[in-house]
Amino acid sequence: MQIEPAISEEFEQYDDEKEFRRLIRAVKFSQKHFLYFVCCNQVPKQDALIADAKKKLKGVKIRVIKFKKPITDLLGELQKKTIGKGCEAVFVQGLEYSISSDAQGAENALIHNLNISRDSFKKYLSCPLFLWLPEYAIVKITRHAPDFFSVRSGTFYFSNPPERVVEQIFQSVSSSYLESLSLPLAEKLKQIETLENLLAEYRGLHREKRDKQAEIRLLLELAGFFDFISEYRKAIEYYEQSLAISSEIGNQFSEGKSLNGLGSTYLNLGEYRKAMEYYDQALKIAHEIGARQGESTSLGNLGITYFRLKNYRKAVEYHEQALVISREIGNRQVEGSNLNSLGNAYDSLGEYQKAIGYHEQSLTIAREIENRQGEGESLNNLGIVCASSGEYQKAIDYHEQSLAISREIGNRSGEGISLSNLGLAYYRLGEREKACGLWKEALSIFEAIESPTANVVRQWIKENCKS
Amino acid sequence: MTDEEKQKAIFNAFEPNVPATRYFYADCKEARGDSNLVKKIIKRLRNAENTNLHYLFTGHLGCGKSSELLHLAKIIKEKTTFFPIYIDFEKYLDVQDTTLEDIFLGMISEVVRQYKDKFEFNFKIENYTLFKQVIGFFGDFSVKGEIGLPFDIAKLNIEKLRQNPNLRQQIREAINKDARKSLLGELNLIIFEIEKNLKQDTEFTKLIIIADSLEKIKRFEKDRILKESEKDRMLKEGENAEDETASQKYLFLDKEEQLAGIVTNVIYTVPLFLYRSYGKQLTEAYGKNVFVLPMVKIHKRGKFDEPFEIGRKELIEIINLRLKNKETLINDVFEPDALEYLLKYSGGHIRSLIRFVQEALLEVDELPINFASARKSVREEVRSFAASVRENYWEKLAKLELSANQQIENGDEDYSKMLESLAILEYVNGDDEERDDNVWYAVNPSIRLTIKFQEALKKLTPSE
Repeated sequence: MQIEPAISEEFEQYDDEKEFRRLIRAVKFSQKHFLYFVCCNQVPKQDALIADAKKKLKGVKIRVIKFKKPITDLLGELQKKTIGKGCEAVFVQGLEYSISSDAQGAENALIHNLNISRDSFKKYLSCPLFLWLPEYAIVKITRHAPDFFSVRSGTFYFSNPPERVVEQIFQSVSSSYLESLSLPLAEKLKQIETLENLLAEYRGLHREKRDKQAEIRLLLELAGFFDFISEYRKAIEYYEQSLAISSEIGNQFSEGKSLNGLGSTYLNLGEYRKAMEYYDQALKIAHEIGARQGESTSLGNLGITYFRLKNYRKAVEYHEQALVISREIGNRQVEGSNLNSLGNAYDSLGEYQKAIGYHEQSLTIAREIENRQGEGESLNNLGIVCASSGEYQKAIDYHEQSLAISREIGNRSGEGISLSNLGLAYYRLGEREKACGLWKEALSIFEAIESPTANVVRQWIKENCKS
Repeated sequence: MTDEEKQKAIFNAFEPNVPATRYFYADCKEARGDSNLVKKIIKRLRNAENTNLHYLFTGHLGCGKSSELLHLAKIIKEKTTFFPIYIDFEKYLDVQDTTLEDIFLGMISEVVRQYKDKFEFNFKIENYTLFKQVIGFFGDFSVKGEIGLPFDIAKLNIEKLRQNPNLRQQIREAINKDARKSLLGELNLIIFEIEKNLKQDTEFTKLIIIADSLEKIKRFEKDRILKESEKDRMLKEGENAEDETASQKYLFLDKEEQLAGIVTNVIYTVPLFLYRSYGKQLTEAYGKNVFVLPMVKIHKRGKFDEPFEIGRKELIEIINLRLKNKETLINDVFEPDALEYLLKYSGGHIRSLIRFVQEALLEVDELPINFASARKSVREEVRSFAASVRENYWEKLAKLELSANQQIENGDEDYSKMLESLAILEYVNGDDEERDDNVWYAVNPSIRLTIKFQEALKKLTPSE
C-alpha cells in the first residue's frame, strides 16, 4: 500500500508569525465557546505573545488569568473569579503548575476535572478559551483527558528559542547551598519561581535536547528551597523525582544527595523510621563511592534522628564520627552543624558546660562563613542551655536574636522553635500570659508546616493556658 | 456578507464540541455499513411492545453517538408508540465517582421532568420518600400548589455538587440509611405510574429511556471495588485507564441484574473498548441488543487510496448542511484537492473532520481553503498523535496495517485503548456480504503520517 511521506519532521519548522496570525483570527472568529490550546514552552514568551495579541486586538475584551499555584478545578476557579462574563476571550496561563511532568499523570486531579467538565465549560463560557501550556502538559492532556482534548477547535504551536534552558539551569543552580540558605524569604520565593519556570521549560524540550544532569541539579535545588521554607511535601516531591532520575541514569552521587534530602524532610515531618531508612541508604552509597562529604552528612543526619528519638549517647557517637570527616575535608558549614548537634546532645545529657562550648564554637564558625541559618540555630541552642541551667534572662536574649534571623531568612520552622523557646523562658519566669501568646503563635506556624512539634506545643498550651 | 464575515459564519457553524442538532444531522447509514441502527432499533421496539428490553449502544468517541441517539429519540417519538426520555448523564454524574444510585436518581428526575414538559401529571412526591429526601439536599425548591414539581434539572446537576463536595456523600448516606427502601424501587414505581398515564391520556403506550454518556464513567462505586480485594486496591493506585475498564465492566456486567431491573425499555451507552474486550459476556447478558455505531467508511477495506464513494458523499453532505445559509457553496469554500485531503484524513470520524475545517479556516486570508492549509490542519492532528501514542503501540499499529483482513486481536487491551484514543478506527462493511467478519479496523489516517509509524511498518516489512 502506498503511504504518503511522514510529516513529522515538519514539526520543527515553526512559523511564529503565521501561528500568531491564526491565533488572532481564532479570537476574532469565535462567536461562542471554542476550546484552543496554545503550545509555548517559555512563560516569558507567552507573556510577550499575549501582550502583542492584546495590542493587535484592541477593543476586544480579553481576560488573562495566570495561575501561580496548582489548582484542581479550572472551571471552578474561573467561576469563583467570575471570569468570562462580558469577555470576548479568556487566556489561561500557569496550568503547568497543576500538571506534574513525571510519568504518573493519570491520577492528576486537574486533568480529571477537565475531562469530566468539558460540557460544563461550554455552558459557563460563551467566549473562546485559550489554554497556554508547555508541550509536555498538552501531551499529558491528550493522553489522560481524551474527551476534553477531542473537543478542541485547534492548537497553535510556537517555537522554542535556541536551547538556552539547560545552560540557564546550570547557571541558576550554581549558587552555593550556604548562600541560598541565608537568603531573605522574598528572595527564596523569587528563586523558587524562577526555578519552577525553568523546570517547565526544560520539560517542554524535545527528548534528545534534554540533559538529565541538569534536571537533577534543578530538582535538588528546588527541593532544597522548599525544605528551607518548610514546605516539606513539595520538597519530598522534588527529592523523589531527582532520586528516580539519578538511579535511572546511575548517578550515585546525586542519588545519595536525594536520599539524604528525603531523610531530612521526613525527619522534619516526624517520621523517624522513614528518615532513618533513607539515611542508611544514603550512607551505604556514600561508602560505596567513597563520597566523604555524603558520608559525613548521612552520619550527622542519623545523629539528629537518634537525638530526636532521645537516644543521646548514640547521637553523640554519630556526630563525633561526622565531625571527624567534616574537619578532614574542611567543610566548615557541616562542621558547624555537627558542633551544634553535639551541643544539643550534651545539653540533653545535662552536661551544660560541654554543651555551651560546642554551641559557641559553632556560632563562631557560622559568623565566620556568614551562615545565617546556622547562626540562628547556634543562638537558639545557646538559649536552650542557658534555660536548662536557670539563666532565663540570658536565654530570652539568645532566643530573640535567633528569632530575628529566622524571620529574616524565612525559616518558618526556626521561627516556630524560637517562639516556643522564648515562651518557655517566660513561663519559667512566671510570665504565663506572655508565654501562652508566644506558644500560640508558634503553634500556628507548626501546624502550617505540618511539623510534629505542633503536638508538643499544643500540649503545653493545653496544660498551662486558659483557652 | 463580506468575505471575512462569511469565513467567520462558516467557522462558527463547525463546532466540534456539540452534537449535531437536527439541522445538521445526516444519517450516513449506508456508509456506516448496513447497520441502519435507528431502523433496527425501531423494528426491535415494535416487536417488543410487551416486554422490556435493555439495549447497549456503543461507538467511538466523537463518531456521532449523541447525534445518532438524539435523532433516534426524535424518530421514536414520531413513528412509534414509545415515549422517549433522552438523558445526557454527563449532567448528573461525577464520572470519577459514580454509583448506581446516581444513575437511578438522574432517571427519576428526568423521567418526571420530560413527561411533565409534555403532559399533565400529578407527581406525588410524598410517595417517593427517598427521592424526596435527596431532593431536599438541593434546597430551595418551592411546591407550587398540589402538582408543582419541586425541582428542575439545574438543581440536580453536577454544578451544584461541584460547589459542595460533601453533598454527594450526604445523599449517599441518606440513601443507604434505610435498606428497605431503594431508589430502583422508586424509579420503577414512577415508571409504572407514568406508563399508566401514557396509556390513559396519550397516544403513547410505553417509555424508552435513552441513557447517554454512561460510557464516560471512569470510576464506578470506587469504594466497593476497593474493599473487595487487594488486587483491586492495586488497580486503583495503578493506571487510571485500567480503573476505567474495571469500573465499566463492574457497572455493565456485575451490576447487570440491577440495570436490567428497570421495568421499561432502556438504551445504555457503553464504551467501545469495553465491548471489544468483553463482547462475549455483554452479548450473553444483553442478548442481541448490542448496537455499534461505526465510523463513516471513507475508503475500502484495506485500500486506503480507494475512496468509498457513498461515505465520501455522506461526509460532503455533513459539510453542506453546515454551509447552508452562508451565501456560499462547498466549491467556494474548498479547493477540490483540499476537500479530498480533509475527507480522506478524517477517516470518517466526524468530529475530526469538523475540527479540520475550523483549523483550515484559520489558515487562510481568504476563501477557498487551499491544499497547503488543509494539510496544515491535519498536521496538528498528526503532531498530537506522534506525541501521545505510547511507544509500545507503534508495532501493533503497523501489524494492523499489514494484517490481511484489517483485524485486531480480540481482547487485546492495547488495541482497546487505541480504539478509545482513536488511534484505531472501527468500520462495518455493508458492501461485501460474503464475509462474516463484517467489522474491520484501520489505523487512523493521521497516524500514517508519523515517522514512528512508518518506521514500525518498515521493520515489519521484509526488505528486498
